[in-house]
Amino acid sequence: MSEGAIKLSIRGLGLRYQGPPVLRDVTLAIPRNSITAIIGPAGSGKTSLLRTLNLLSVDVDRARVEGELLLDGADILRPGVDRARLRRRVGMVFAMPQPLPGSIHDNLVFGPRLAGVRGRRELDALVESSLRAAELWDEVKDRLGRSAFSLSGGQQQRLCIARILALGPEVVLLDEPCSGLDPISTLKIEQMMRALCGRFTWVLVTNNTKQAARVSDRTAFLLQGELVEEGPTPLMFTTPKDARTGDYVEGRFG
Amino acid sequence: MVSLRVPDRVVERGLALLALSSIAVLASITFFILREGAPLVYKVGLANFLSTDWHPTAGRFGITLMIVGSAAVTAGALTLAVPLGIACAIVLGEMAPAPLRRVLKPAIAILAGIPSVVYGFMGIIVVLPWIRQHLGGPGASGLAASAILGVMTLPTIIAISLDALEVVPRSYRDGSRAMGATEWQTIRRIVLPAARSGIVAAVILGMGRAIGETMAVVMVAGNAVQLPRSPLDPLRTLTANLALEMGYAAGDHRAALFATAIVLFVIIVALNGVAGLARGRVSGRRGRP
Amino acid sequence: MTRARVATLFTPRRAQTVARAVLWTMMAGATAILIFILAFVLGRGLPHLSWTFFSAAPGDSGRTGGVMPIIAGTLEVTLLGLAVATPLSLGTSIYLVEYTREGRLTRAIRFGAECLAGVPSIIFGLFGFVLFVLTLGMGWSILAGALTLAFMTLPTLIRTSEEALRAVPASFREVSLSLGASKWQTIRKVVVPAAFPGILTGLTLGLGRAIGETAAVIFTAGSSLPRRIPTSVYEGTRTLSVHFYQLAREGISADNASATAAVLVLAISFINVCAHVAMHRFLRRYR
Repeated sequence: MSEGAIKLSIRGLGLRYQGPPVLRDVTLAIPRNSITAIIGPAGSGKTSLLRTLNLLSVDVDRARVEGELLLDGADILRPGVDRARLRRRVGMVFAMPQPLPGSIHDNLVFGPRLAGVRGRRELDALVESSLRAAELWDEVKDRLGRSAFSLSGGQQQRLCIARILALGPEVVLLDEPCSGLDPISTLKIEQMMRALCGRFTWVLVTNNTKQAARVSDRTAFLLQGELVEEGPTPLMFTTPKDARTGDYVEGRFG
Repeated sequence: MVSLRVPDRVVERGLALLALSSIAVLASITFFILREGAPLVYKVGLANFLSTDWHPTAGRFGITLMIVGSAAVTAGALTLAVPLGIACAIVLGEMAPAPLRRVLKPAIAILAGIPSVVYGFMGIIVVLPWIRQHLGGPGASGLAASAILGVMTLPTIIAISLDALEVVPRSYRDGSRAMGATEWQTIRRIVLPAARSGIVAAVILGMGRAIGETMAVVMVAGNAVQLPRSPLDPLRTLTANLALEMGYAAGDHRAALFATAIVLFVIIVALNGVAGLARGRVSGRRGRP
Repeated sequence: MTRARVATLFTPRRAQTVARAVLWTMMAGATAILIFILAFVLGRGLPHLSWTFFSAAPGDSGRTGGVMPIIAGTLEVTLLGLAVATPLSLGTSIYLVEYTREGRLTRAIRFGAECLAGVPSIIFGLFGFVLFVLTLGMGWSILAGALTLAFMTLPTLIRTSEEALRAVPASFREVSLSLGASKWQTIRKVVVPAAFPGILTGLTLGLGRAIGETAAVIFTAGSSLPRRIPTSVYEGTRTLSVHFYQLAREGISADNASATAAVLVLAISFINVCAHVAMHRFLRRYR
């Protein structure tokens, strides 16, 4: 892959909390405008890896990291990086949908307001465009003032995605976003990811290997903190190079 | 409108400063009382301080009679408040229907908020004459103080016991009933033992409240520095002593009052600490407010 | 009596009936006490409440006139005290919850606040008297009273604010951070607003307690009878509860005493019930 085609470059990433390392020397390139899936059994470190991409693991989980993490060529692990700005460029969707207290409209304008967007018309436009992108507009356009908690689980999760999209990010990280959702909501979210591929780079952590197979362009397989293998999704699932990859995707363990 | 983004560093330092100030305030109270009172105990000796002879003008600062007074009044108050309080908590927590609960719970809050001087006033107008008439004696007595204090301690015990009962998981009760136990059997054998530490904490905190009460006691206990031989005898508590003499005490006398305050302080802090541990609050385990 | 006979006599059913009867009787007794107290205070006091009572100044040591300057003085002392205690307690609890890890320091502070929360007000009165009134030379003043009240309510306020902040789900903070907010913005715009009902309840309860407080203020704000609304924090004043105490103890005016008591009880009850109701709403919000 050429340098220009890489959005996020992870080089020699190591991570630990209080005890033994959770991630060991992970090197992975995430191409721009694509969907990359990170799969692996529980405890493999995939969530830690994802949370490092927007530095949440450092700020919230108090992890200690080493190595390099380049976003468009610039290392975001070095001191002095504006983390708030980083998180507007690299947004994250969590496993359990968590609306903020307030209306649907409040949830969507929270981020942009902090970023300095003030005009009422601008904000309303952002609200509509992000809800459309998240395929939620038709369902909620008449009740933007209602509490975000009044939505169903699937709708809440799409709201959370719309929240991120309203910030105009470059990368969207998703941490098992469909784990609590019904199949139809899951399908909608997968369709949305594919439809918006041209605008964003998606990094998806998932426990569901079939989902990874369905939706991603490239897949990375993490096992006990190490990157075992990564490559184009069809190849990973049909002719993996490492025996462990084959075992995992075929369900022989996990 | 320009948004002012205060750097996180500055905010953190500012908040740390506030936290340190709070700690300083809390610590200063402790140290101040110690500084004012401890020297006196060294000066006159423990034998004097713990004697039954309180004659400040003659240099006698024995507080034992007041300790007895406080203990007697507290014991009396708890005799009234503990059974009544726990009973009310059980009724409110386990047995009362929702509408009744909605009315009575704010009622506890109201009862808790009535100022102690109002209780004292009620004591003077209602309790003292009643005692004089039906039981004899001057009226102002340990009994009167115990009765008033008992009522004052009631809301504390009810509220905290109620909390303790509410925290008991529903599954405990469901499981017991499913095995055929009656409601009362469930309460007695399952719920109460499970809530035991919280109820103990309630009693301890109630005890602390009773020991620390001043104004109402001053108004109805008689305030005589003597050993009460019957509940109808007037007595003086540690707190009443402070209130009565602080206005005009000077020098050693005032220091003796501070020394008394130290004794009270230590007792209450110890009680609160024990109760806090019993409720699991100190370890950070989430208890109810 | 044989064991079997006893067993048939005291069936679980019967035991329950007896227990229920005893418990409900005690409940009724306690309720009767409550009703008696309220009836007593309000019954004796309400008839003497009048517009004059609320708007006029006291005369003749409180035998005549009203309590208006006293109400003003009470508000000045308690609100000033809260004004000091609130930022201090809020800042401390925010720091404890958001910036420190659960460890020995936080446990020590929590233990300290828990222990000091129940210290008798007379001790604070003593402390305030010697420190503020005498040593720092404030004399009997609103300032001395307010500072004493602030010191007194600080432990409780720290405790209730801390609980309210801890009750905010961790995911709120994460979401806010991941949307590009700084830590302080997260605290300011998400955490504190979410914890606000709980914090407000704590403040309200503190206010109720401060208004009913006598022992701590009588030795610090003094017991001088104000003729007009106090305009300087160095003026002494008596609060409503102190006024009541003086009237009752000196036997000055049973009517005015009862009326004062009625005002006190009504005001504090109102505050406490509001706080109680608000607390309930708050707990219900996240269910």
